[in-house]
Amino acid sequence: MTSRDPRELLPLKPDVFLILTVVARGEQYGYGIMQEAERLTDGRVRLQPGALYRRLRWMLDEALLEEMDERPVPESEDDERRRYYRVTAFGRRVADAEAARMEELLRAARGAGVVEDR
Amino acid sequence: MERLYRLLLRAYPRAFRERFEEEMVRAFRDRVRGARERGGACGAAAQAVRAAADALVHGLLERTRELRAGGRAAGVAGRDGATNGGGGGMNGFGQDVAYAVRDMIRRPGFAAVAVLTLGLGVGANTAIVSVVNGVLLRPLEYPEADRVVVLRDRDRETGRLGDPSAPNVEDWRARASSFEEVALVWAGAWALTGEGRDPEQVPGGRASAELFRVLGLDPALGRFFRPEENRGDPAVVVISHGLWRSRFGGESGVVGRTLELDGRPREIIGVLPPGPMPLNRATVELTEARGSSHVWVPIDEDDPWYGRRTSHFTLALARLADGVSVPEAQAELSAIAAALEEEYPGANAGLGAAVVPLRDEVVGDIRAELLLILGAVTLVLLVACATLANLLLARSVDRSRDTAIRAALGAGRGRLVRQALTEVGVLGLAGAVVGLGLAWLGIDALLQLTPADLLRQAGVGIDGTILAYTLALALAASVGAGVVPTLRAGGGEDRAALAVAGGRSGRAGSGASSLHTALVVGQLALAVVLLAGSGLLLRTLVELRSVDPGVRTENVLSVPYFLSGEPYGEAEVNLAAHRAIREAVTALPGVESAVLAYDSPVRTTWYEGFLVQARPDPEPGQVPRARFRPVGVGYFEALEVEVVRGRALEDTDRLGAPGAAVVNRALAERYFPGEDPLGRRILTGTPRRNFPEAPQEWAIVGVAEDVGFTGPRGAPEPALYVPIEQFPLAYPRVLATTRVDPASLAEAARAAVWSVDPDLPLPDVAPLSEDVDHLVARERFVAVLAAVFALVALAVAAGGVYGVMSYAVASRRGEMGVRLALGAAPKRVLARVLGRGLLVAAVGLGIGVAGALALGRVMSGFLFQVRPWDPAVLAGVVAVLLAVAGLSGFLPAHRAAQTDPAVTVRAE
Repeated sequence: MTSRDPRELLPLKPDVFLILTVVARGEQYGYGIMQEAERLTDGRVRLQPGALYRRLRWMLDEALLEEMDERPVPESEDDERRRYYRVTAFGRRVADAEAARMEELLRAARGAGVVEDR
Repeated sequence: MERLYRLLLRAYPRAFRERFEEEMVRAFRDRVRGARERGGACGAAAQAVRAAADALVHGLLERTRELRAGGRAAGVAGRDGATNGGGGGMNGFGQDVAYAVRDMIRRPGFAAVAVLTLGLGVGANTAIVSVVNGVLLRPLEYPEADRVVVLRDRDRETGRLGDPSAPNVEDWRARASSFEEVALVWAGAWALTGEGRDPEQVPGGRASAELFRVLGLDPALGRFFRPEENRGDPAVVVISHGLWRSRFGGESGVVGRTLELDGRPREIIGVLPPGPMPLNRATVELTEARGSSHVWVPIDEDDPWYGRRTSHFTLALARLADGVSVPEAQAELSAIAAALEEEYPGANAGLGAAVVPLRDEVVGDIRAELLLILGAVTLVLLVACATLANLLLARSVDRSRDTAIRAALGAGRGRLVRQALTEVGVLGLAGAVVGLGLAWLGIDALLQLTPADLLRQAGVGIDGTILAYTLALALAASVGAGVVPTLRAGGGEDRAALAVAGGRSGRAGSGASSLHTALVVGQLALAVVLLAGSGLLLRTLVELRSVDPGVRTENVLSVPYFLSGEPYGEAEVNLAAHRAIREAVTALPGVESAVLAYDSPVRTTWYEGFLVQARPDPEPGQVPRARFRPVGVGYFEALEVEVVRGRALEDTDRLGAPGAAVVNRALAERYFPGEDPLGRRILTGTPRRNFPEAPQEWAIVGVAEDVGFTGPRGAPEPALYVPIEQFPLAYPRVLATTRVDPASLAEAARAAVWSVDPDLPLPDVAPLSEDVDHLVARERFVAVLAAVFALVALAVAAGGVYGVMSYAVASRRGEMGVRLALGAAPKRVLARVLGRGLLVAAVGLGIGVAGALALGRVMSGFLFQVRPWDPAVLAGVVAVLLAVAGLSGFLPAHRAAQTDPAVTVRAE
């Protein structure tokens, strides 16, 4: 798996990139991802469970994420049935590759004067 | 809600569900909860609908992905797939679903209209069915609730039911073997004081120890009353679960603490279990609201009222003995009542007894109204189905070329039919989701607009049964609406369709066209029936509201209060407070005058039996009785009730003076026919413990006009007005006539009462007109619901008719173009198209009017001074629908007539 080229999966769907970003900041479970995504985008992105878990299924199958065996929160505060996810090393490489792709795109757009330089 | 979501998750492949279902349901729950915290019930509903739609779409997308992947895998595996016949079917189904979803996304307009139409029809049904389920079908919350009954008096002459007196209930209990337990309840209210809190009025009352065994309740904490506590009024109290939570924060150590009721500290001995506690209709509002506060104190068998066989205000509840049916208990109780009638001819003459299942007592007689509304929403659904069928039919004609090509390429008839059925199934699912959302909002609005004593609210809601019902209804409706177009899809019109396919416009076959026409006729007819029915109910409401109650109700503020605890009780103390409160309210700016009265002039009070002096004792069954109405001086003048003979009550009619009473016209006519009642004396004999000074003998000093306190439909009942100064009850009200909107004076009136005693709870200060509204609450409930559903049906039907007309015009565009090109005047072409449309409309309206006449006859029991064939209603309805049909035809035809004929002809 580690020999895979992360660029195979590009471009990522915006939701997938956002989920990667959220989970990369710390292990998360489903509803936590939805809340955090909403917070990061100032409420513009409101993931619904139906869409979220479809993306998660894909990201798990493609090994961008993995399910955790241990709990990040002590048992007493936590609902033991919750499943937590974290980003794999491959997932980070995919996120990097996607960020690089977007940066390149942005640079090109700025060069062409389509987008203002900030 | 969660169960529906789980159901929708079935759209995902099984493997996916096994992996994520629990997580998704949890996330859904958290999401909805979050939305409720931010946006209330509406926010939660919107979120739930969004999440449900999202799950449906993504589930189907996930499934198509899996099927594609499966297909690739099967391709790799070579011909092995051929041995697996079942897999092929599943694959086809997945394709069908994917095709249907893609098609909906490709035509969002069609999909939105179709789903919304179905959603409206299904939502209206779900909302009403959930009310019917909660109110009429679901058993009450008690264990073996069908064994709990209410025992009531039955007037042998009129058949009317009434509350029994305590001694009679005791005799029933002692002699009957049909009942395991019989309990006595005096419902009322307590002033909750002390603990440095604001005084609060809490409902509840006194109950005998048997009550909790009758209901089958176990205490959540502590214990309930012991039988020996039914005597001597020990200082104990049982509190509701809601009060325990709200006042004591749910502390487990509450038992043993004290609660001050009416100024007397009582030890809390037990806490009721959570949940509603329906006792009868009058107390539904008090004991059923979520987390409601109510308190119960033992009944006192030593209370003089308890021993009075002529005072009828006891609520008697009983649990049937094992294996005893209601009719058996009724037979036994009737026999006992007959025996009691002989033993106590003075008090019990003419008095039978009735055994009423508690469920019927609590539900009341709203059954007929609910069934009527259920009929209305069924019509709404039929209209929605007709509209949907038209939409699907139009689309199937549009698609006939596509279908024909697929058939020519070898798609079997079965395959095409299955495809079409899958599409309507997907449509039905989406319609169910929208319908559920609408129903959820609708139920909420409905319950908020309906008084609790009209419609028992506990148990109304969307549960698993309702979800299943909604889903089944939506699927049945969509498949029903889709069946005709579907059969066409597989029918033998392939060749014709292919021939048409060569041309640019798919001309509607004559079969489709006549179906369209039939559906429009049906829609219009149903809409006429619904609109006419709701029109009749609205006119009834107007007529009822216009009945003069015989008393001033506009610009009157009602300020009920309740003197409790120290220093009240003694007649003079009560009277001093009454006078001071009345004066304080009179002094308010904007108040014309203020008078005292025991109860609202438009509500019934209790009955008192009486004897007329110098008359022989009445025959059994002939004991006169009247509604007992203590009122203050100035009452008749202020409330504009004419005193037709004699005089009104005056300041001199006070304690110590001889008793004076004013009777109403109904009493004078019934009990003094052809005689002059003035100067006659009547005896009531009220208990002496409360007010030893109160007279038991009253001289009739005046006759007043009847007041319609039994409602606009009720006949006047005999009433006996006595001076509050001679009967100083602790819980009267001030009725203030005002020069301004009475609601604007509510705060000032409270402040005025509190200037006399800051500890009086004042929860019910309100304009008197609200009591009048309450008299017609039932009629308003039916009329408003019927009107809402009729408007929904009108909107759906108008949309449907417009769609069909546009379609008909579009398919005749070529013909119109040719006519125009050949020199026909646009007006004439327009008139031709429009004329045909109006002809169709006229047929539909004609059938509808016939239906409305039939419906009017069925509904006549609901009407009041409105004829079932009321011409104004019918004419109005026909005019509205003609306008709708005309406009629906005119707009597209006009557009077509305006286009350049060359364009349309070339297009052909």
